Order: sequence, then C-alpha cells, then structure tokens
Amino acid sequence: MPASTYDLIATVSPTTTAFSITAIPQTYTDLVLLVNARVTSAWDITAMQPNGIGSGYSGVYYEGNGNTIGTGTAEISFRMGYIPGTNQPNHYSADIVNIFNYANANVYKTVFSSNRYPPNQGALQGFMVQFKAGLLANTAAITSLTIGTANGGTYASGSVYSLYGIKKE
Amino acid sequence: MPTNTYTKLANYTFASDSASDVVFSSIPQTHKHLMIQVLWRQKPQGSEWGFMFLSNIGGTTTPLYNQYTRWLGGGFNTDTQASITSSNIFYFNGDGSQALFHGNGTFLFPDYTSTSKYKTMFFEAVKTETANSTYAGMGGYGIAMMDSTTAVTSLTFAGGATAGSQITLYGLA
Repeated sequence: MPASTYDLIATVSPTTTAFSITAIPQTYTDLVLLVNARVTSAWDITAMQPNGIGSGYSGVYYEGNGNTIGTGTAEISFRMGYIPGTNQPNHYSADIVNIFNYANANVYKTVFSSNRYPPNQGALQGFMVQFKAGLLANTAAITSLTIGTANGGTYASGSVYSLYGIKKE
Repeated sequence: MPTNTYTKLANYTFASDSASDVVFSSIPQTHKHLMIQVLWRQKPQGSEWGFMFLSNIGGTTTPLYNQYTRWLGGGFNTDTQASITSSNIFYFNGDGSQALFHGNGTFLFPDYTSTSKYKTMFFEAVKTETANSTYAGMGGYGIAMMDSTTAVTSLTFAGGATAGSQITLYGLA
C-alpha cells in the first residue's frame, strides 16, 4: 500500500492580523500552503515572511481581470493572493502557495502562488485570478513562517491556513 | 507531529466511451479540503478540445458564477459566466484530438464541509497534443463560485468522456 506523501504540518484559523507557524520540520522537499481566508475590511492581501525576514523580496505577477502584469522589487514580504472582505459578502479566497526547496540552505528561496479572488457577482468585478512568482534573496533554511494581512486587515471568522509538507520519498 | 493526509476518497474511470454524467454522492465529510485530479478526453465532441461541466454542488441548484483566464494558440484572455447552472471547466482534450492524448486538471474546494461559507472551487486544466502546432497546448485557469453555504456532499461532472478518462477525489486533513 503506497504511503501518503502529503503531511499536514499545521492548520491555523486566524482571527487577528497575523500569526506564525514555527518549528517547521526540515524533513520535506517542499511546502504547500492552502489558503481560504477572508478579512473584516473591504479586502486585503496575504503577506508572508519566512524566518521573520523583513527585506530582500521581489516578484512578478499576472492578474487575470484586466490582464495586468507587473513586478515588485525591494519588498518586505512575499505578497501573495488577494483576500476578499466586505466587498464580497461571505466569500473566501482560494489559494495554493508552493514554497520550494525550503530546507536547502544553499539556495535563494522561491515561491509560486496562485490565487482566486471571488468577485462581486452582481457586477462581476474584482480580480479573479492571480499568479505570482516570488524570490527571497536569502539562503537560510525556512524554519518558520509569519503570515498576515499586508494592509493590516483583521481575519474574519472561518479563515483557514493549512500548511503541508511533501515527503522526499 | 505532522499528520499523514491526502487520502483517496473516490474514483470514477470510464470503462468505455460514454456521454453519461459522472455523479459523486455521499462525499465523506471527514477532511478539511477536497482536491480533485482529472484525466479527461471529452466525448462526444468531435473537436480537438473539450470541457467538463460542473453542477449540482451539494445537491443545490443555486446558480453558479465562473471567471477564468484561458490561453490557446498564442491568444490569452479572460471571460466570465454568470448565473449559470453548469460551470465550464476547461481546457481538456476532445475526442477529435490526436489519439491517446488526455487533458489534465486539478481542482480544489477549500473547506468543503463548511456550512457557513459560500462555496468556491478553483481549477486549472490543460489540453495537450503534440501533433497540432497551433493548439498543441491550451489551458484554463479560473474559479467557480456559488452563493450557497451548503456543504459539498455531492458533485456532478457532465460532458461525457472516452475510455480511460477518470476523476479522483482526495481529502486533505
């Protein structure tokens, strides 16, 4: 019987503006973060800092409503998907974030996030999908993640972040 | 201590070409997220590319909304479907494409058992075919939504498919 290669490391249901996942096991190849979040403000963006590092981030992104393409440099965190709020009643984000080679202390860290931001159905407005590739120019193995809202919004009840590890073999 | 997860919940494999719907009922409500992996070659179609049609989420007929990005043959655009009863999930291979090629897709229902959130399923799917230089690769990436808090206890995938096409449901802890 094949063994599962996907382990749940932590599940967090935040109700403030940020949280941390610490003591991440260094025994996996990659990490996967599933996001199902909502804020009590109009909207926000998920921001993530490995090891609490506050500089050295850059990224490139595509937003699929309006076909916006852009870049970011000298950022203070991985800025990932949009989080719906009062603009989209009762809807939550749906993101997958891949954190590659997180335990390797010889490489800069890369992240790929794909985000779905539910629009306001009545007007079908708002960003609907976003891809973002991010780079952290730091080789330290990732042992913790600090995750929060980039604009200071408070997470709404029901928000869930699930962190998984993908086994090496 | 990490918890072992990614558990297979159900699989449907077409034994022969069929236009029948694939219905998953009584989906176990024992996990946090629902991941769906698809290998699909639509039938009957006659076209090189095909679709799946998602409906009847949790037994409700609440209208669906769908927004997506798609790329095909050098083109790239976005579009929407509003107040629909069946959400288009694409692109996959159709039975008019080169033999043996199937499309692949991954879908995710976050927090699928919740009865306090509107339901969202995101999808990404690709059609592959090496013989067609114009439409060798096509893809779709988007989000299907429903203004209903009903838990995802059942799903219907319509469109029909060729033998060997399959849909597998996994639960994530």
